[in-house]
Amino acid sequence: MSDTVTLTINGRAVQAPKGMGLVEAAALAGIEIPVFCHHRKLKPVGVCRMCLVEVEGQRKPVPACTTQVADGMVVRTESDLIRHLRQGVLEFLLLNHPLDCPVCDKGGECPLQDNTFKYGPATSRLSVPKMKKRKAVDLGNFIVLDEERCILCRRCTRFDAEVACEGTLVVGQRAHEALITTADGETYDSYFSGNVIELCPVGALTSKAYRFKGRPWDLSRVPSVCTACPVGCNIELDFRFGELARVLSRENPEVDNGWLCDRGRFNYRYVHSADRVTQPLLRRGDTFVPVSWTEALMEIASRLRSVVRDHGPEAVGFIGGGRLTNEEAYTFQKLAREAVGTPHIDHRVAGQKVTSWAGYPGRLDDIDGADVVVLVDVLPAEQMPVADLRIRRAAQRGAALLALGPAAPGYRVPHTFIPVMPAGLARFLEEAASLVAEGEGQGRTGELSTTGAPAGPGPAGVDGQEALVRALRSARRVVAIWGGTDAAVGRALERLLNACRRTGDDRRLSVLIPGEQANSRGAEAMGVRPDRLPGHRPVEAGAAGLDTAGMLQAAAQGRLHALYLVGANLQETYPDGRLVREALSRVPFLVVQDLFLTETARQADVVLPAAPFAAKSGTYVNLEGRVQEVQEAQAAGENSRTDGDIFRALAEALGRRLDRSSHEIRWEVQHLLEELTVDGFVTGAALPGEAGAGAPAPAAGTARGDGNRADGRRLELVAVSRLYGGGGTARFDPAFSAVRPRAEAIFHPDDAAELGIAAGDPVELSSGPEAVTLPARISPQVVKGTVQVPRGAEGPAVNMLLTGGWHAPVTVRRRVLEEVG
Amino acid sequence: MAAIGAAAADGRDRRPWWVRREADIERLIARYPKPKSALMGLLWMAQEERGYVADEDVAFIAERLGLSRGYVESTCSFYSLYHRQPVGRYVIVVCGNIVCGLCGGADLIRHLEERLGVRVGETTKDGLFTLLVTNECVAACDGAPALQINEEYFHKVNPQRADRILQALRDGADLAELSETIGLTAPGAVWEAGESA
Ligand code: SF4
Ligand code: SF4
Ligand code: FES
Repeated sequence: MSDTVTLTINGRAVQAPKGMGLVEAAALAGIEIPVFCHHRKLKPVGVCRMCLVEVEGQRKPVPACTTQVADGMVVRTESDLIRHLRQGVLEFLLLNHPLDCPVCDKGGECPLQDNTFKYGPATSRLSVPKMKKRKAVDLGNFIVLDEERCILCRRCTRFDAEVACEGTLVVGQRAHEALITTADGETYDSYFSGNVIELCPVGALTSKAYRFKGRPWDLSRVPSVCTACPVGCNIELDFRFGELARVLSRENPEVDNGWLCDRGRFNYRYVHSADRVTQPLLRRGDTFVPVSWTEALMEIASRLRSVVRDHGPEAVGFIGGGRLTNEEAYTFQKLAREAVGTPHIDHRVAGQKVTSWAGYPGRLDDIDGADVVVLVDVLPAEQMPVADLRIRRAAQRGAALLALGPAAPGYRVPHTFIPVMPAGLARFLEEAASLVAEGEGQGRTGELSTTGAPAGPGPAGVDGQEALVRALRSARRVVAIWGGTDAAVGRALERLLNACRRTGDDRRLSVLIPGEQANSRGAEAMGVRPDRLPGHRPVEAGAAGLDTAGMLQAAAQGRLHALYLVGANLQETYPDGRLVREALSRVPFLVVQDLFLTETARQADVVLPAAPFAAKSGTYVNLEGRVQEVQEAQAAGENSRTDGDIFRALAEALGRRLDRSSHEIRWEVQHLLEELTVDGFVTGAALPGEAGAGAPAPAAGTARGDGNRADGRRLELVAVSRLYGGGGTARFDPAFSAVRPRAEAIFHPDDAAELGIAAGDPVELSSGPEAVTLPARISPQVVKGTVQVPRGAEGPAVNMLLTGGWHAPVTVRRRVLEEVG
Repeated sequence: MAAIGAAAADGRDRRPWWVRREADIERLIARYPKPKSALMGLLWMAQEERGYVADEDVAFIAERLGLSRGYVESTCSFYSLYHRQPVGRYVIVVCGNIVCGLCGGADLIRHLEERLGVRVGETTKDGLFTLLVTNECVAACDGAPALQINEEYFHKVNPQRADRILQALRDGADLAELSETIGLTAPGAVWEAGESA
């Protein structure tokens, strides 16, 4: 009882939880208090005064947004005085407001319009001209600011400071000259910038992509789920006369908390890209000819049949699946295993080894309650952006945030970066595990002090390890986030967590792994793995197929005679460009199913045009194991088909029906997911090497000799994920391709000095016979001894230097100018 | 780049102010429970050192106090007495608020623009004067129209008095003394409409 208070609002008794603000308490009773600056996800600031109410006993009206409920409080929200004050506030807000509603994107869904309609004066007493300000200020990648429309509510700047924890967007100047801006020379290029468009209560912040494109009442709105990364934020797709006009957030507190990242929000124009493949293509010599679906499927069926006849079903391999729905992924593996009869199928297209982990299941909201967050060889902002907001908030409220790996995460929140070279990561964790275990008997040590700056370059010393061990010893709730690229690191991490788990202790330890594609976990659960059947069931001993690396090698050696790629641009995504090149050029028959004619698709014998995500119905599994459903929002279009439909049609062409009715697959998948569900979430798989992990796929080492050049220096190449990198979706989106990262080689200042490299110099990175020349950049954020390159960047393919993992030793040489010409 | 740790041949220490004045900076930060609170003081120090707050000062202060550059910029631009551009030796800040406005502030601004040959926001070619107008009250309403030159106040400034002040400064008068002698009027004193130089 003591947790609720009773107050009176407009003569009605209202019960509200203690600590609640008046605006929310009134809403509980169905009473609206108009607001502008107030937003329930931001701290109240009380700057706009729209919410003034009378509270008995107070001399003057008070802002409801900054006033908390109290027992016995008597509040009036509809008195003559309050009505008068609201009119005054609105008159002031509209004083210099341009009222260009007819051409304002916000018109029709604008709180300023709505509040004026309900509470405002319809006229202005201003008899002199309005103040003029700038109408279209370019704030950054995706946003244009209309300074005249801004009412200075500060929702945008508070979001940037409190939620994104970046503090780039600020209020400059003061009084009537105040405006939203950034520091001189900076632009508002946060990964989360788009959220301020939705937060802005007027049309001051507008989306470059959607600006002047539609009126809100012309839009048809379809709920959906973002498929650009494994977080699976809930979105709303707004179509205008059949065209996808914008993407908005559809709040799900447990997943996205109402936020989206800019990749999810702004990378949608590819759906309507003129570069989409719109008809099946058949190779004739050096060119493609468009053919009908029937012809394409017949061709594939007959080629596959002859491969199977001549070389057996095991001469066929299937790669991809992480972009499919669960239903499609399930159909995909049925196509491989039942219609063709091969065990070679793998969803992993970017070198990830582990996609999920049953041992320490993690949930996104575990981060909210964590007192230690450990990042192991992962960059959450790049790989699971909206989840990174939870991490930043945790660090902001005092949780210890430690990042281990070869690349610094670059947070503005307090954190400790412990540079560890990829090759030493497993050992580092093993040693930490021993230290934690040894320290069990001892009392808990004190608070860990963290800093906003990286712990300095160079290999992790004892300091880094001590910081980690100290934090873990005193922690109650630990969340580890791991990139999943190296199984040995996973086993070491397991040892560390085991050491933390003490009997009789109520510690909660959880692990989150961002999959390399949006539905990696779903594909895994549906059995798109060479070693596991649907439902994580291990295949019989000795019956495991080849994984992606194995298939590529087999193809390169002439042992695989047909390869079928689905949503997999291996040339770009796989960390061994040479192997991919050899495999694709050697394999006699290559089918690529994709939206675009990517460099991989261009090598195909048959290209099948797939429909984009909006045309699909089905379910996805996000990185925490949450199943989310989507409905078809848009017809596939004349000539593309959804991946699921393509699989079914191809199976039929092969003389095999994969389902007896249209519901059968859906039902089977639902059943499978239910079987896997524990506490409402799909469980993960066992770690490789654990019992139940299934027979290990044949080892696929690709170590190549690296002819060390005499005139160069050896550095560890570290290819890091970039949110805007990779993917046909970014490259073929006119609104998004401009923000794709450019290929560059980033050096620590000391290494640069030693190599005599200045910013902008062309440098050559080489490994064996392969060499790539990139412009140099210098940044103290890079760990000494490494050279960092972005993945999926525009420019030369750096994966030519890699051999299956995202790091490898390379020889670095500064190129002299004559050589470059 | 100026060599760090070395004084130049002319005996002047050319290291950045934040290197030279590290001890002052540390002392300032130590005065507050949170480093952030030293922001105003550091901005002032920067301005003291070079007459205005340069981009590199904003960057240094942000880094040193663990703030974003935007935050520093925002605070700096809020206060009209921090300058983000180089200014003249004497910065004349005329009050643009209502009381001064009613007492002839607009005329005073026009007059100064004419006499100095610059527009508001600009600096005279000789680098002596920068003319600014602040929208905030300079808290000298009893002396309206008022202006501030660097840290000194001048009350009831009519065009003739303005001319006298400019001339005196051009002639090398001491600013503080000038403010004492002709700048301030006793409360309640009535300024004579016909007063002249
Ligand atoms: S731009 Fe919009 S959100 Fe930002 S302060 Fe202005 S009105 Fe508020
Ligand atoms: S975080 Fe991931 S799921 Fe969420 S909007 Fe961004 S790309 Fe989409
Ligand atoms: S909503 Fe309360 S002051 Fe703005």
